[in-house]
Amino acid sequence: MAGILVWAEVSNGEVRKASREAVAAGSKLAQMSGAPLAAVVCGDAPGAAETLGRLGAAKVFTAAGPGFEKYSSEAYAAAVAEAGQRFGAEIYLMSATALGKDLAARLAAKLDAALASDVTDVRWDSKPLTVIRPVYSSKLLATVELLSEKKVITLRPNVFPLGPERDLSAEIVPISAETNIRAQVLQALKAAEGAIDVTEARVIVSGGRGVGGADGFKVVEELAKTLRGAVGASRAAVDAGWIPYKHQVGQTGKVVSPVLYIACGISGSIQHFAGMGSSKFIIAVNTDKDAPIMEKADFAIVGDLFKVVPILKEELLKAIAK
Amino acid sequence: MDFQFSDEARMAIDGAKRFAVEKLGPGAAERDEKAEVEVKLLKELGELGYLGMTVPEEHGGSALGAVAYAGSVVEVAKVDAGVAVAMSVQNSLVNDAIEHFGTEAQKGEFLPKLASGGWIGCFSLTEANAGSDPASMRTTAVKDGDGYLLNGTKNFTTNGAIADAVIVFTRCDLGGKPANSAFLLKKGTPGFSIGKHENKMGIRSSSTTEMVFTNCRLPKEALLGEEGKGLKIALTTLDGGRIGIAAQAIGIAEAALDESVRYSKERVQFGKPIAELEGIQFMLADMATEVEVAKTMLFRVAWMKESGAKRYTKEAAMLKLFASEMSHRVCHKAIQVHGGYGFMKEYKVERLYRDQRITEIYEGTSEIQRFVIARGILG
Amino acid sequence: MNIAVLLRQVPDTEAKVVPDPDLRGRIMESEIKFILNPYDEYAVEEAVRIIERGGLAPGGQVPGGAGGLPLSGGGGEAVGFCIGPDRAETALRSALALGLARAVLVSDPAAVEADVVTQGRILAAAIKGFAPSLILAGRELIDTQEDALAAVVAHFLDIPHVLGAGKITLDGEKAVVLREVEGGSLEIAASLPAAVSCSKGLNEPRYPSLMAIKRSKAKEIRKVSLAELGVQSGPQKSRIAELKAPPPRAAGVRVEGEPAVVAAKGIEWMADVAKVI
Repeated sequence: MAGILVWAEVSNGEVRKASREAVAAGSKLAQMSGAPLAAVVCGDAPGAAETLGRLGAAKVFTAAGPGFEKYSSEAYAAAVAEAGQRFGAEIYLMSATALGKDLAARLAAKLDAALASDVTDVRWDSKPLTVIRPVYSSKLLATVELLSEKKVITLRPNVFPLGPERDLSAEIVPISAETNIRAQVLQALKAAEGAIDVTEARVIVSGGRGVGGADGFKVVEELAKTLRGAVGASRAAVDAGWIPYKHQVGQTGKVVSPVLYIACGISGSIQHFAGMGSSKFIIAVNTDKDAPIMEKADFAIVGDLFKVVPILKEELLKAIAK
Repeated sequence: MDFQFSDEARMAIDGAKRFAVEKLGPGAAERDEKAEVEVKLLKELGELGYLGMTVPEEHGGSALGAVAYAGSVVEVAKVDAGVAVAMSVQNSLVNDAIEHFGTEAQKGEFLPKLASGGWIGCFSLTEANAGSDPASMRTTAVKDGDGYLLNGTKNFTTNGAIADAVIVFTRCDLGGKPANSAFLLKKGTPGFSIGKHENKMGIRSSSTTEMVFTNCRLPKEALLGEEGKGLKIALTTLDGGRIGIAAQAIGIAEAALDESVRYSKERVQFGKPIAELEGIQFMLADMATEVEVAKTMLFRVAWMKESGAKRYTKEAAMLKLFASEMSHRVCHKAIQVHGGYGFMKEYKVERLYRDQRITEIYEGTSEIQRFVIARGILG
Repeated sequence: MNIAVLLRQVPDTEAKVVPDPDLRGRIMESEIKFILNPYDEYAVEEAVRIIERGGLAPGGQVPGGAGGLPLSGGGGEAVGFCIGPDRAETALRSALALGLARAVLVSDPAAVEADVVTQGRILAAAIKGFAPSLILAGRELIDTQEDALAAVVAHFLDIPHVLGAGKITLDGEKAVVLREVEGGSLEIAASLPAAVSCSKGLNEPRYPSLMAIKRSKAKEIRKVSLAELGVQSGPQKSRIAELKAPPPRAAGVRVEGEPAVVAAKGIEWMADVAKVI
């Protein structure tokens, strides 16, 4: 039976949450099809193999040493391909993080595989394996049948559930791969201390044109901080120079899938919705009761964000204190 | 018949749309509120070639033709009708008048700067007592040695405060008979100054001023066209100008239609979007039809000008008459679709309604257009 | 030194996209306005700026070799490469108006309908003879929402890639690229030739001037077939079985009134329904 191989992305020595979601998805696929599940880790990550074993990987391939200290699409793709060949993998899974998508692209070309990126749903018992992914600015969903023998799939973070950790352990298989690294990470620059990236956050509080200026973002930031969430922004706010581009959610910004998205003073254009439409819950605060976002929101508050949002923050602090 | 835009015309119109939405859109409401004229934005349009669309390439223009020009004005007017009128005045009044009636020296000096947006131009015709009847103007040009001495006050001049180049029409004495002459001068000419800045109902992002001439001495080289032929120059040039104003009116109407379509899908009454109510649907259908008719006419008259086949005075008058009055009807309905919100300044249709009104007045009132049309059909 | 820019024509972001009831996996095209993929504009702008600055200093380039198009026009050109149907010419024309020297269009249906890996292989074949030092692409195609193309082309040309550049600094030997990742950014040095996809923020794409639009008319759009490139599309790797609109979100709760009252209701909802507190 052809195997399922998950690339586990490691950050600060730990398997990233998004990758644990991918392992859980792999585990579910394995159960449905009877295929074996393995994982592959690149770089030095002592505890990672153990974690992956508890999540259900029977084998964990590890590529460490020179060439693997920092991310390299070439070296990592070579290692994953090597692991896949040893394991007899047909399905390669990873999370659709920045590096996951980067690796998947190179790997799919290398394996001459079918590539499906940013997948939001999987038909677990389908044959050929069928996945769902958004297309056309998320205005449509495509049901895609993967026909090639080898398939590379990236899964949108925060969409697939985490699996249980069980008392299992994996067989650890060190591997090596040829590393001809021509694109070399020189340095990783961390975002400001305490700042949570919108693509990783469970909760995002976003501001748009209604925020009115850079100063107006303070109330948005304070609510985000209280909810331990990230600060997002619409294109209008970014283009106006009120907040840096890295906060932008939408078509030309980032695609996010938090549990809760709070849109403050955002009208909700098609382009914005393309970036946050798969949020589990949406709250909108807007003075314009006819703004498109108010139709899409699960909870729409008609009101002035500068009055409502600070009270939300205060009430939250009280609720948390209880 | 071919109803396709050429590739270049389509790209020019797409480019105008994009510039309008991205660059003019964000500040349009504020410019209206504060009556702010942003010359910088106008000059950016000029750098891209949109202020010299019918000027030949040898004079620094893009020579894309009247069709591309008309379509571009529509796109700009959809977003900021004040910028659209400035664009229209520069292209179809100032540049065209210089192109058709100017000397080679005038063309060489003025057109490259106007066509590239380096200079802004204005067309100063109207006076307090000479609006629809330019023949009754009081500003005079009297022979003074080798040149002329200008005295008088023009009013309602679009682009007045921001103009680097001025075309001014005066009365003159031609062998004892009263006639009119046109002059082309530069900002800073002694004896020429800007008078009152008008506080307008609409197109508030455009400049409208008095132009004051007090013993303003001009050399004979400043004469535009032949002495005594000023009225002909004005009227011929206004034929083309009417295409620009019609395009502006259509742009305003199309924006009002777009706003109404969007609003009617979002606004829920009686448990469903008002777009599902027949009363609203019929209004939208009428609005869309009227815009479509006017647009078809616009591109036909623009094509007539572009092909240079024949005079199009009557057709330009019909176009301007229909487009401006159509725009009035469409904006009126747009406010009706919006209900009470349409009356509020937060909604764009309120501005469109005010901006539209002038299109029935300037460059020939509707009454003048009817007069021109009647003359055209009665012979 | 040449720069290849990968281009694509896509439906306008504002376009209403409706699945075609008769053609599986396709959308109704009749009412749609097609544009140059918005991200591609960053790639075009970057390429044109590099050429305007005097091109790249001497350095690595993709070896020409056999099988490619005899395209290399000598010193320093930015040329567009596109897979798409004939209508894609309008998008290419836009890119030419933005400053590309010319463009190549592969319009065989087999190429147009192929998956991203196959398309990358075809584009690599088309680009090879052009011997670029740099290949630029948009970060994502907004129709298929795929961001793999630059990496796939890089693989088939056996050169490195970096995706999602927010800043590119070039010297003769390498491109130093700043790209965002979760929680920060990476500075990556890629030896030339390299393929880099471009994100928003990299530059401010220009508006085409009317003069440039006129000039673009004289520029060449060369159509090439798979046969001329000597490549085949190969077996189908994936197939869109269905395209449909996402299920509408269930109608939500709407509150209006005193800020304190609506905020309290909001908190209650966050705790009970969204369960984020």
